[in-house]
Amino acid sequence: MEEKPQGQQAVSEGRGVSRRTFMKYVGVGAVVAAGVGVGAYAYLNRPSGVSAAPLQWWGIGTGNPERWDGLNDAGGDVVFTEAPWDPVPVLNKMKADGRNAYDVISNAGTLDDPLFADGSIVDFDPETLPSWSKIYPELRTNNPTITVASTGQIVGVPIVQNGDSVAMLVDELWPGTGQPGQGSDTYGLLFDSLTTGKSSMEQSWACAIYKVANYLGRNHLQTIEDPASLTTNDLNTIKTFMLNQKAAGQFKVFWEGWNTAVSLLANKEVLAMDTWEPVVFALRTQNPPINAVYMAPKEGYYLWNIPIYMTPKGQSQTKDRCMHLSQWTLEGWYGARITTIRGYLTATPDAIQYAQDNPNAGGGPYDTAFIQSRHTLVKQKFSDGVSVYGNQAPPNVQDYQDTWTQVTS
Amino acid sequence: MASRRPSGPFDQLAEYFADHPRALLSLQIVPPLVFVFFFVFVPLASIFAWSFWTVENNRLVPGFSTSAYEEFLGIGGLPTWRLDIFLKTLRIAVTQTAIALVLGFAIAYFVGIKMRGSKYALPLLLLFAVPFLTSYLLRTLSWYIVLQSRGLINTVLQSIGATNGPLPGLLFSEFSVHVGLLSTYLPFMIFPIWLAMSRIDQTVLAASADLGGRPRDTLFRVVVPLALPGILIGSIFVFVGVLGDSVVPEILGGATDSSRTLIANLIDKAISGQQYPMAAAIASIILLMAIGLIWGWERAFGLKKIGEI
Repeated sequence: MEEKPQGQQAVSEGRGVSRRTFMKYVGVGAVVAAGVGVGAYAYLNRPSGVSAAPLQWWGIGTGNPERWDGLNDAGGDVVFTEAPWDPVPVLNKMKADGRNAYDVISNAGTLDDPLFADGSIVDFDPETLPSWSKIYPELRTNNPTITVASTGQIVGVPIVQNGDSVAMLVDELWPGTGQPGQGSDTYGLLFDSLTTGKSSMEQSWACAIYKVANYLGRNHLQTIEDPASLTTNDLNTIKTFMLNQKAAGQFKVFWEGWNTAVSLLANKEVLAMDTWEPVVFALRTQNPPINAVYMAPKEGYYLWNIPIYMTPKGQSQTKDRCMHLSQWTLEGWYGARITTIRGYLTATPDAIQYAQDNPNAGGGPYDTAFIQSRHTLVKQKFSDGVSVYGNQAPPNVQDYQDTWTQVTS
Repeated sequence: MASRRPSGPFDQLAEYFADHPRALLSLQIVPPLVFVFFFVFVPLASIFAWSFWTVENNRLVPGFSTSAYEEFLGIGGLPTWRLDIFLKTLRIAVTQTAIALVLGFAIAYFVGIKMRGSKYALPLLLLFAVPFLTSYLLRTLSWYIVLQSRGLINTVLQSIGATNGPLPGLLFSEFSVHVGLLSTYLPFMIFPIWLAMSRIDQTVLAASADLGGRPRDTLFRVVVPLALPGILIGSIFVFVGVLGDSVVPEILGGATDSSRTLIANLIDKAISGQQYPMAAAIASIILLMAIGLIWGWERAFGLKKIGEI
């Protein structure tokens, strides 16, 4: 019998595969794997025309129409990536790599100042858009969410907006009347004995804290210098008030997320909640429908606005398409679509006309009366002289966060 | 048969290690040590270092500042609310461990001692692992549905006339947090205790009875001491698990008794608020506490005890 080479024999006994053969296979395998890897890398990073790459839009989901009717003909594809509402991660992301990854962004308004100061967004002359003059004056002028405070430059296009207040369950709070009763016009309802143990506020400070500030300041219960921009003293005042309320058992839970908000009210776990208006719409469409009403607070709404901003990448590589996208958000289909699926106000009256002319267009049907009523109602919030925008990026943001974390912990 | 002389490099290497066993031992130890160093020690040391850094312009800047610890501990007249949350978490973790121990021991005793030899013992035990086949989040959310005002428990109680309305405090309370934590961490208590009990020789139990020991005596003087390693390991699993849990309090905790924020939630909030040194300081304090626990274990029982199950 032929003797195997010693080294080969030592490894291959009982296996039928020699070490040399094994090493050969490993070598061939490694070469093949490396070849496939290089090929795949080259394929994934293959050069492509700038125009072929989809526009990268990073924004809060509220502004996502989920369809792109009428845009793709001239604007190409758009990839919408959901962004957080929380301002700090947005500023970080944009500072880190967002400015080079996205063409346009649409985040909580009033972030424009720090974003612009960081170089994360640019002045792209939005006033030159064809529909700019159609934007409601309430949104186009004196709008802190699109205007850089220090220079007065316009750097954003307002696309979606509303004024937030409180959702109330009428039949439980004022049984037998069918209508909101005493206390239904003030944020004080959240702190009233009527809702003790059945009241809820949002876990995040970004909206909730301004409602408390409005309540305390406008009713002269405490000294709040400016409800839209809270000082450390103001925050301490709010904290003391809220901690006392919490200790007295006023709040059932601090909520977070759309589903939780709807579920808490639908199951009557809470009867009054500072939340978004579409929560009320969702409650009204439950089976059986819930008699929910959105408060018109005498202290004013918490105004918010989601503008579209252009990044340095958008300006240098895809400016025309970004302008086209921005223009598209001011036109009829986008407006009708957003108001229909979210109930929020868009920037121009084109949405109403579009719904009237195209009630069964893609993404519809579109109810002109509903869209008209939403535009009328929400526009009033922006011109009532009482409602305020809250600053999402105040210089003392750490104090804001500490205050609300302590309150909700 | 004549011995062959080594010729290939592998053979020479094998011969070398045969002559130098300590070198072979070193070769076996070095890879895990390198792994532990880079994947355990370096991250933990980094967390500890970051706790002394500062945040400037939204970025961590190397330096040495104890302000995160001072803020956490409330030193110099600063508010102590973070420390309060830490102490509350410790209280909840100890309570949860005690509850899990009582229930887990009873179940492990039943399956490991009373049902010893039964063909149903193992399937029964595995039933406690079934919930782990579902998402942790969904499992916790299912308690939300069971405990809410219109949930299963309240509906049943009201339908049989036991209550007139929803029971207060069933959901969004420390009670519901404990329920959620129990369903999550009970198996971590059951299995180590069961494992320790399953190693108790039947003849030892028989000897206890033969010597006149009542069942209670056998339980407390034979079973419990022999199951102690399992009890201790299970307790540490549950205790440490509760310390690091942020999902259950987030979903099931309430505002009135401040059960919605435990220490892990505080770390989450510190990170989302860019208070990285604070998040690192809290994590470091928890880590030091865990090291203290292990040190206490070593002093009390010796670490070899762990290997006894």
